[in-house]
This record gives sequence, structure tokens and C-alpha cells, in this order.
Amino acid sequence: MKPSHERRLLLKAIGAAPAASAFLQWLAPPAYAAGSPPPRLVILWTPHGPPWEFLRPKTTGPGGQLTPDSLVYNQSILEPCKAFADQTLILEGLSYKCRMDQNAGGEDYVGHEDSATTFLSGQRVPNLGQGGVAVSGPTLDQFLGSKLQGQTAIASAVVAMLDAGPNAQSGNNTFSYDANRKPTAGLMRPDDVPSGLYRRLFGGFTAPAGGGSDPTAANRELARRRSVVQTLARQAKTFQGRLANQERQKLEMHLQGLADIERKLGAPAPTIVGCTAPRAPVRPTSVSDYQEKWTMTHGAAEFGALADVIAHGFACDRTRVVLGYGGMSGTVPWEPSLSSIKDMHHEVAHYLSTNDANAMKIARDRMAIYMRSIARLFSGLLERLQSIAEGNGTLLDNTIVLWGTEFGDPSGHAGRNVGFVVFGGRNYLQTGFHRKYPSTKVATTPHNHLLAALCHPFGLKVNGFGDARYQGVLTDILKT
Amino acid sequence: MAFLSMGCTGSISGSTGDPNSLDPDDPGPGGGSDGTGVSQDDELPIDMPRGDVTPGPVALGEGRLSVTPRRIRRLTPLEYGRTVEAILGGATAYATQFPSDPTVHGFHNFSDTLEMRPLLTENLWVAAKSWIAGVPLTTLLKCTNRNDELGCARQTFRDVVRIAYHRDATDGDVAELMAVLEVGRTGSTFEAGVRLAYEVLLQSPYTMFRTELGDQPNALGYVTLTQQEIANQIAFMLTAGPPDDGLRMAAARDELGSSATRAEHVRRLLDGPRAQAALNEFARGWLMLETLRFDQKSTTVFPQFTATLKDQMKAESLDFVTRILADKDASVAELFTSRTATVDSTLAQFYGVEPQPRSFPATVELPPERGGILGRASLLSTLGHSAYGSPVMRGAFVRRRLLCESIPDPPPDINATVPTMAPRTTRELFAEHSRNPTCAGCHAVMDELGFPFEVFDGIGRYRTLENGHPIDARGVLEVGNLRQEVTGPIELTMALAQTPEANACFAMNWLRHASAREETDDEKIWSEATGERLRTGELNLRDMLLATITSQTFILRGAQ
Repeated sequence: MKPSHERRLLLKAIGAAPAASAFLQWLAPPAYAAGSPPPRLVILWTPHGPPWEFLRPKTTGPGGQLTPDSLVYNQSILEPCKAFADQTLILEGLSYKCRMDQNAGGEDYVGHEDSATTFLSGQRVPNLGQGGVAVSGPTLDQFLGSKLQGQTAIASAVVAMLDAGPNAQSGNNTFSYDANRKPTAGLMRPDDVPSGLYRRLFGGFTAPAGGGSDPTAANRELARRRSVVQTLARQAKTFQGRLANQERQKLEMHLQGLADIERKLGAPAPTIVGCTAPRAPVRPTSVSDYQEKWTMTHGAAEFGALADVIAHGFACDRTRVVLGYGGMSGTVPWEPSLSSIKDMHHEVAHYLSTNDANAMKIARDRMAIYMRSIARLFSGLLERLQSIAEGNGTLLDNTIVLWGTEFGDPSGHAGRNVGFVVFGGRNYLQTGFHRKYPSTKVATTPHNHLLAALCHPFGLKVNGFGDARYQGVLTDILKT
Repeated sequence: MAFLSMGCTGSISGSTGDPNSLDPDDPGPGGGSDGTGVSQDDELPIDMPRGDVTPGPVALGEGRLSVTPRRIRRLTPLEYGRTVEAILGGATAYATQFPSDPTVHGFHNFSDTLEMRPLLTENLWVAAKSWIAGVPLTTLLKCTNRNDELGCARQTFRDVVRIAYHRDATDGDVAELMAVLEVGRTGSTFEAGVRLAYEVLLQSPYTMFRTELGDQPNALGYVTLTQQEIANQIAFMLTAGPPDDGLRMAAARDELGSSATRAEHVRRLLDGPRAQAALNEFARGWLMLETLRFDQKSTTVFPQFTATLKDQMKAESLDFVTRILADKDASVAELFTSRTATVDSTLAQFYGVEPQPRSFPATVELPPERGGILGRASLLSTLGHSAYGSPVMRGAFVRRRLLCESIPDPPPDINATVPTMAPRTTRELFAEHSRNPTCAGCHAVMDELGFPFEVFDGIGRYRTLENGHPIDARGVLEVGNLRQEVTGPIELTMALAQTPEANACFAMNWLRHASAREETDDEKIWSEATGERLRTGELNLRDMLLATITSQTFILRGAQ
């Protein structure tokens, strides 16, 4: 009998990582110059893809330089971010090439799940049968997290936002895979949502007190917490001693989790100026309640709360990497002018290229409106990051914000010329440009090069990321 | 009969068993005894007469259950929830702290995939404290003399460890918890110490993982599970929670090595209320019912597909399958053909039940076009796209999940974009598959099993027309040596129920779920033999459930 596909996937899932990503393994943890604020990364992913005529700048200066005026025109997606034009990088011509190359005929097509799994892994992914377990990664967020392990309370956090609901990730297809090539998050759970991120970053956190706290009581509480976690770790080690091989691994992962907790307990209270815990987002009581929080009525406020958690989490150095995944193809838009649309993908995205010129124009206009509503959210996040002083500038100068999308032209599920925009991080990146890369059917630039470039600010001078066949780095966006 | 695997050309090949797999029924060198300490004669064989527990040999050449290697099994969310419930009481949603685990063949309980991911460890770290804070001290303390605080604590810990750690407490366990208590009450109260120690109890690796390690290996390299491990095995498999007093006492009396005793407990538990949730777990995985919760349909096409309706669909399907599984005389065929359903008013209306019952929930006969699991709205909705049903997904489900065939995934260069211009019928939409020779090899065997369900739309409503055009529900059931043309779902499911393959596949799926691992080649042959007995009525479903637990392999593990 031929081994079932599902079984092979399972075996892969519990086995070692393939050679494609092996070249990342030798890298040492990053080191920072003493006293310098560290780099941070926010990755936010939204579904569909841009009508490029509304994402390109209207005009540019020499070398594609952006000015505030570049982003101001009718239907401009990035207009809400015009104040940050000098901190913006519009990257045109990048493609999910590693996945597209699986298409024998050189077709652009990539599936919804392919896009999600390829986005941060830079790897082609297996098609899944029912019951299969996708294996991929490590993804950029988890790779960086693994190198930053121990330096912050949470190495790397994943959060659901927008219409991310359960459809955005299945248990077998996610955006984020850890160093063991296993999904880090599955179906939406309370800890994947903004209130859960708050709890992970600030649960038990006490901002540096101006006095009045009882150090004896605090020490006692710390001793209690340590007593529990150390007992658990001792039990796990004893238990592990009775086991062999793969079964030992199960407790290895548990021990790692316990070590993370103990490290958080032992971390000195943050003394960073401007570090305060933000207000906590309200925890959803159900999937429906989660969806309600992200409706047109409440969504902007919910994103604002999420942006606060991210900004303060960075300012307090509770984590340095956050991945937010937002929605998938069935997204319901929030814009009042799009309120009649119930399914952005089938009612709008699929018509971005069609023989019906009128339908196409309507669809492209609507997609621009939808994406501009997302850009407005980004603008809010950028403002928050910029409002926090850090080093000689602001937190935004040290924070790279990557906006990734699902497709190039979503009507054909095209993986070519996918929409990527980078904001912030000017201490590490050459920002304020529209960069154009070749994106013909024959020659297109793998998005792996962007993923590789985003490792460099963290001191990880990789030559590529993900599938080793797509080595290369977008050096032109890096600050030399 | 053999389980089939298909290449993309649609060719079908058979399979053979692996002669090297472990064989617990082999008497081994010297013959007659396997040296495990368990009498070979004590085993309840699969080919027993119905309801009989008289031992007898398993015929050679018909496959056998294989011995699972020693392992530890992280509790599933449901199992953990029930364990904590047994400790703290109450109905807190303890299970919601679990990030989702991967599924294999749809099942959520495969041992190799269940781990303590750091996120779970972290979640429990926070949640445990708050759960305990919500429970009064009087509930936490299990002692009789509360004047002696430390004595009371020792007694409490000894008692709770028995549930939490899935075994009797050792002096070391109690001392460890007392040490934590001491840290907790320093500078505070006895109560604070008790609560702190409970945090350990709720998160301990001994709580999160139950063992199948046994004791010392015998000369053949097998270990026999301890009595407590056997009790845990039975309890978690059939009630998704810790053993009840009956099983605990049987373990204490060293009785669970006997297959007859195990059979008594299985029957007792299956007849009790707690088996429902455990059988639900099987049905949930087998029929992908978890997926339904996340199924989103076009609100334009299916405005009535609400969260409430989805919940009702799921509940009805779970109820249908678990009732049959727990039934003393049920057959696999009933799963494919029975029209019995327990519905509320919305679902009764959805199904077009006539006459409408006077009160709800009501157990009714569904209209004649709906037979068994394949006539249920839950499955028909799940196997579809946003705006219409999918003959491919429906056919692939039958091939993969009901016939245990392996269908290759589509080649990666396929453009699976759904056309934006809708054809007249869904069948026409998928006609390209049969026109294109690249697709036809695989799709012929899937689509032809999906087309008979075209009488149901994308959320499982019955229809005779689609966009004003008559439904064409002709299809072909091609499996093994059988090739049968069918029209509509009833003809298909009736034929399917009689195939050796569908019966064997059901046995295989139960075995996967029961053993929480992939099947061995020997077990494929076991499933074929068992399936044939299910098909002919020689065995019923309860016999099959019993067989997996009364088998000697249930209490043996391979030493690593």
C-alpha cells in the first residue's frame, strides 16, 4: 500500500527540517551596541491584493524618493500615511516566486493557503489533503524570536486582528511556524487576540513604581511564583528521565515553556523611560464577540488598543517581534461606502481583472477604498510609535512595520507583484522610496529577498531566507 | 479486499500486510505463553460470537492489532477539562486555554502531535491561578480534620494527586507539594499555601501527560501497562476523563489484566452518560465537524446559514453518530442509511420534516432523500464552497474518509480559481474535469461520487432544480471490483454501506482514534477482516469497540 499523503506529512511534521532552510542554522544570536535601542519588527498581513495604480506614488523625486505629495491623489491607498512618506518604502515587483515556481507552466497562481504559509516562510509548501499537517518554516517572526530568546519577556508574539476570525488560519495552515516547523498558532483562541497579547506582554507586569510598593511583599510573591515554576520544571526533568527518544522531546518543549516563564519572573523591572502598561483591550467572550469587536462600529478602537499594546510592549522591551494576521478572503469591509459588500473576495477581488471594463473599474475602486481603510489603521500605529521617545529619536525610528498582502492581482490569485509596504525603521533602512524590481513573467524578484533583508537590522547578516534556491537580499533598502 | 490507493491516472492497486510487524498473539519461543504475565487465553478475540466473552484464537492471516510503543500522551483539551473538573468541580471552560493541535485523518488525539507548546504552558500558568482563586477553600480541602492544617493538607494532596497525576500519590509527591505550600504561606496564610500548591497540581507534567509506560519489559520486549494505566486508558477512551470509582477499585484489585473484566467496564461505561462526550470526539474528527464552526458561506446566497444553524447541524450529527455507536446492536450500514435524527424546530424546518413535531427536540425520520451521515446538513455544508456545494470535496470525502483511500493532491500548477461567470449548474462548473485528460484521472473517481449529492445545495438543502435547470444526480461507485451506476444519494449510500471497503474503513477509523496513532500494515488486514464481519452482521459496532479494548495489545506496549 502506498503510504498515505497524510501520513507522510505527519512524519515530516515530527521529523527534522529539510535542507532548504539549513543555511540559517549556523547563525549566532544577535548582539547590540551597548545602550542603543534595539530594532523591532511588526508584521501585519491583510488579505487580497492592491490595484497597483492606487498603491504607486503619484510622483517621486530622484531615485524614486517619496514626498508627502507622492501619496496624495484620488483613490490613493497610502494617503492616510502621507505624514510618514519619508518613513515609507513601497516595494513593487516582489513575488511569491518560490510558490509560483511549483506551477509547471510558469503560472502566477497561488492558493489562499499557499500565500499564508509562504508569506513569512519563503518556502514552497505542500498541498494538503484532508487531515494533513502542513510543515513549513521557521517563519521570519519565529526565526527572529528564536535568536532573541531570553532577551525579552516574549521572544515573538502572534496576534489575530481584523476579520482574522477562525477562517484566517486553520489548525493546519498558519502564517507562523516555529523552528521545529510546527504552527505556532492555530484556530483563533483567546490568546491570539489583542487582549491575549496584552496579557502575555503585561500580565503580572508592574511599571516601575514611584514609591509606595512593598519590596518584601514583592519578593515573597516572586518566591511563590518561582516555587511553582521550579517545581514544575523539576517534575518535567524527572519525568523526562524515564523516557526515550521522541517521548523525551515532548517534555523538552514543556521545559522550554517553563524556562520562558521563569526568565520572565526573574527579569528586572523595566527602567526604560516612557515605559508604562497600556490599557488592556477587552477580552472577547466568544468567536461572535471577537467578530463584533472588529466590525465597522468598533474595529478602529480595537485596532487602536492593539496598536497601544504593541507600542508599549516595544517601549518596555517586553518583546521585539509581533506578527498580526488580519482576515482572509471572506473579509467583510468596514468602510461605510462598502457596506453593501458581504464578501470582499468573491464580490470585489475576483473582478479586479475582468473583460467587463465597468465591473473592473468598480472593483478596483472598491479595493482601493478597502485598502485605504487598512492604511488608516497603519497610520494610527505609526503615530503611536512616533509618539514614544527613544534614543535620539522615536520608537518608530527603531521599529520596522511590514504590511504584507495575500496576492498581486487577486482576481487571478496572482503571486506576482504582491503588495508590500514597509514603514518606519529609519535607523536601519533607507526609507522614503518607491523601489521597483523586475516583475515580468520571466524575471521576478522573490519576496525571500525582503525577508532576508529584514534579518539584517537584527544583526543577522543572512544571504537569504527560506528556500535556499531563492537566496538574495534587498540590499538597496538597508542602511549602510 | 484491500485498502486502495490511487495514482493520478486513476489506476487502483492493492496492498499486502507487513510480515514484520509486532504480533502480540504470537505465543513466542516456547509457545503457549507470551511471558507478559497475562494469560493468552484471557484475550477476547475479534471473531467472538456477539456478546460473548469466551476467548478464542485470532485466525492467522487475518491481521491483528499491533503493540504500540511505550509513550506518554498529553491530554486533549476535553480530557484536561474533565480532569480539572474532577479536581476543582464547576463548569469553567478549562479546555479553552489550549491552542489548537494538528489533526491527522481528522482526529485530534494522535499522540505524536500532542505536545506542551510554550503557549499552552504560558496559558495554563496564568489560568490556573485564576481558576483556583474562584474555588472556596472548603472545596479545595479534602480532609476530615481541619484543625490540623498540615495534616489536612497532606491528606488533601494525597487525594488530589490520585486524580491529577493519574496514579497513586507517592510520599515524594506529597512532600513536594507541602514544600510549595510552605513557600506560599510564608508571610501569608495557610490558605495561600494551599492555593499555591494547587497551581502545581493543575499544571504538573504528571497531570498534562498520562503514561503508557508499564513496568519492566519481558523477554519479548513487551511491557504490560500498570493497572492504573489500564484504568486510565479505558476511562479516557470512553469518557474522556479520569477513571471512576468502579475502574479505580478494579485497578486496586488488580483485575484489569483480564479482558472479561475490561469488557464489563466498557459495557458499563458505554451505557452511562459520560461516554457521550468521548464518542463525540470520534465523530467530530471522523466527520470534520469542527470545520463546520468556521465554515463561512456567502451571506448573499445563504443568508440563513447562521452560527445557530451551524451549531444545530453539528449537534444533530454528533447525536446521530454517538447514538449508533453506543447502540447495543447497531451496524455500520445504519451510519450510512438511517434516517433517524433528533432535531429542533429550525432544523426540522430546514430538513422539511413532515409532519412537524409538536415539541422539540424531537426524534424524527428525515425525508427519504436523506440517508445516514451523508444526508446530514453538517457534512454537506462543510464539503462546499462559499456559494455552492462541491462534488469534488464530497467525492473526495467519501474516498478518503469513508473508503480510506489515498487520493493525491492536485498538481501544484493547477489553476483552481473558480470561474466568475457562473454556469447553469454546479455540475457544469465541474465538467472541465472530465474534459481535461490531466484532471480526469483523479477527478473521475471523486466527482462521480460527488455528483449524486447534487440534489443538495451548498448548505445541504434538498433541491430538484438549480438555476431553473433540473439536477443531474447520476454518478458511479467504483471501488474494488465493483462498478455500479447510481442516481442520487440514497442509491449511492445504500451501495456504499454494503461494500467491504466502507465497513473496513470504519473499523480502521475507529482503530486510529482508539489507538491515537497511525495504523500498521497488520492492522489494515485486521480492519479488513473486522469490516467484513461488520458487513455481514457477524459483529456489531459495540463488539468492535469492545474488541479494541479487550485485545491483549490494549494492555501491552513495546519497550523502546
